[in-house]
Amino acid sequence: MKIALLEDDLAFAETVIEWLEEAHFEVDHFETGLDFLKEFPNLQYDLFIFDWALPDMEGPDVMVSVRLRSNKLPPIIFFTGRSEEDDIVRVMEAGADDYVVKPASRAMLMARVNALLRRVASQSQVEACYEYGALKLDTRSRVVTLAGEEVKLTDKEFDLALYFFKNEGVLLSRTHLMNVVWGAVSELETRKVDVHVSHLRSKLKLVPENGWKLTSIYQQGYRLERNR
Amino acid sequence: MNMFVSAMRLNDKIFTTIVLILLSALFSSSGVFTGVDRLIYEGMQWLHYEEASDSVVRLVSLPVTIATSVLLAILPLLWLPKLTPCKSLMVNFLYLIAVIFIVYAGAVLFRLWVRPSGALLAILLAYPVWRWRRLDSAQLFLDRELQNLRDELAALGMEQEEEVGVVNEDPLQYRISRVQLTAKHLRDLHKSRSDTLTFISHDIRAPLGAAMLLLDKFENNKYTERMERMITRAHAMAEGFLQASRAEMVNVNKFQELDMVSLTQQAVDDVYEIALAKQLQLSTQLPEDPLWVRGDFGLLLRAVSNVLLNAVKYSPDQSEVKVLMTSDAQSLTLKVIDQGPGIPAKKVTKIFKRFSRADGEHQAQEGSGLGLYFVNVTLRKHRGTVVAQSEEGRGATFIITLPLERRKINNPVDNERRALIPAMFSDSI
Repeated sequence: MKIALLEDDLAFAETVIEWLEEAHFEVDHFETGLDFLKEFPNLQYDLFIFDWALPDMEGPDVMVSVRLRSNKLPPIIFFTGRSEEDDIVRVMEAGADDYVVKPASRAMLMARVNALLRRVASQSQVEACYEYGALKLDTRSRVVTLAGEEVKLTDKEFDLALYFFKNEGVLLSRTHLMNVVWGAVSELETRKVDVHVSHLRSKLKLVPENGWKLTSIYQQGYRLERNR
Repeated sequence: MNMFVSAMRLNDKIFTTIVLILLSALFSSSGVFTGVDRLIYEGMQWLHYEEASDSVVRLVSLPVTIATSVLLAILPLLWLPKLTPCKSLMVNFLYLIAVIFIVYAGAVLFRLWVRPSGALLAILLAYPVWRWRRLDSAQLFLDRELQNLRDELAALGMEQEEEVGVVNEDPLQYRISRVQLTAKHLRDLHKSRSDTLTFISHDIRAPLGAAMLLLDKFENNKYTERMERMITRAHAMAEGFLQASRAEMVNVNKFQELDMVSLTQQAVDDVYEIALAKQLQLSTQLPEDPLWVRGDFGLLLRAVSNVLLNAVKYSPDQSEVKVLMTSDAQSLTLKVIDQGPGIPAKKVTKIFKRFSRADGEHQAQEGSGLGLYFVNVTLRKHRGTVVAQSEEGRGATFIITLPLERRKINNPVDNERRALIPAMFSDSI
């Protein structure tokens, strides 16, 4: 697996490269947006990790330039120095698949990288049955059991649960969830997603005690992950 | 400043009193307005024609007339300072009519005629004199305060650009534009202060974050541990500053609908690990249905997390932290109850101020001293409240209240619940 890292802070880049290489990834490091844009057409990557603030341009601009030259892009993770809502929303609106707030912990970065790569690998397959600890999802009979007991879910809740589990650890934007689970949904019904996610959390007991964490990212998106 | 205002008001009263005394005495003693007196007297005779024609009405002496006029003339000062301009004008008019009737009554009942012209004219003038005086002092005060403000700003090296083109206009308009300019200038200053703070905090955070990463490369020993603690604390302080300034500057027009039940659940999930490390029991009692409020998700999540973290931080190992949420038609109440050492009574109101900690000796403890200040600012911005109740040695309870969103909620109804609805109404159909 090959990863392109675009980061101008050398101390930071060095640490991140070390983490990635120890996890057996091949890493190409670029310091400026222009360097990266010059080299990238000749190379194939499985994942991009971009810093938001670069000396010559902003991360999202690099992303737009890349998109103009190639129609098939690997997933993109953004490093951002700011954790405020506006910045996260900007990252997501720019089309990033996920973000990591600096200073990132090793575990956090690796979890994000692995989740995105896993998602790409298993995108189109649907298996008959998924098992996640005490939880079992049968996709044919559409039945969910928690520690052997059946949990009654509505159709939409089941679809949502399946989508969350298939994309474990991945940041799923609210708009994306609306489109995937409900088809098109009007802006007025944004509460729908929040309410369904909240039902899932309580019905399937997706709480840290059971090893799960279902988080709302500033209401712009959700992430289901295993509690580390 | 208040003292200055009240002193000014007192001066205005004395000034108006003196003017009214002089006017009423002058009018009543000089006989300039005898025509007015005669008119009123004839009016009275016409009203009480029979009685007046066959009885003698005695004219009171000049000193008594002057004294009565003065007394009647200064009475409006009892209400003029208290009422709005429109009300004082109306009350004065009624008073004027009342005085005429009092004079009539004196003539009819006691056969005494007090010449009323002095008092009446002074009463007519009472309102304009008082208002003129007030307006003058208010403008004087405004000018002086504005000048002080501009001097202070200039002393800080932040001079305003001079306004153009309004100087020669109406003086009131001129003052209004100066106030507007100064207010705008102050808003700009506030914004630039906050921007600077954000900038500094952000720029301090970045290298500290990098230093934290570098520390990972060293083998753990007591020095790296100490350094990590110090860097973590500095980082937390920069973060605290940034968040506090963000809460202060939040735009309430950008608030969105959010469910406080899941937000609180998320905050509880976030502190789970820390609670687990201290073997704390986190018991939550949250409503099953969502409770919608209008707010900033990031700020409210952090506010609830700060209260929870505070409870977890001060709780002894193996104790219990309770999280309860209830609601009524208008608002929701979130209580976080710990079994920690509690907060001394005299400190309980101070903990929401900047740079305060429950215990002054815990300076070395991590945290910026801005955590609860942030909670307070955030809640105020959301028209909510946060209070702490505690007795020393008996734990503390933090109570957050928030107004609920009033828009009618169209919850998606579950299939199961939808099936129940007809059954509930079947009896009445």
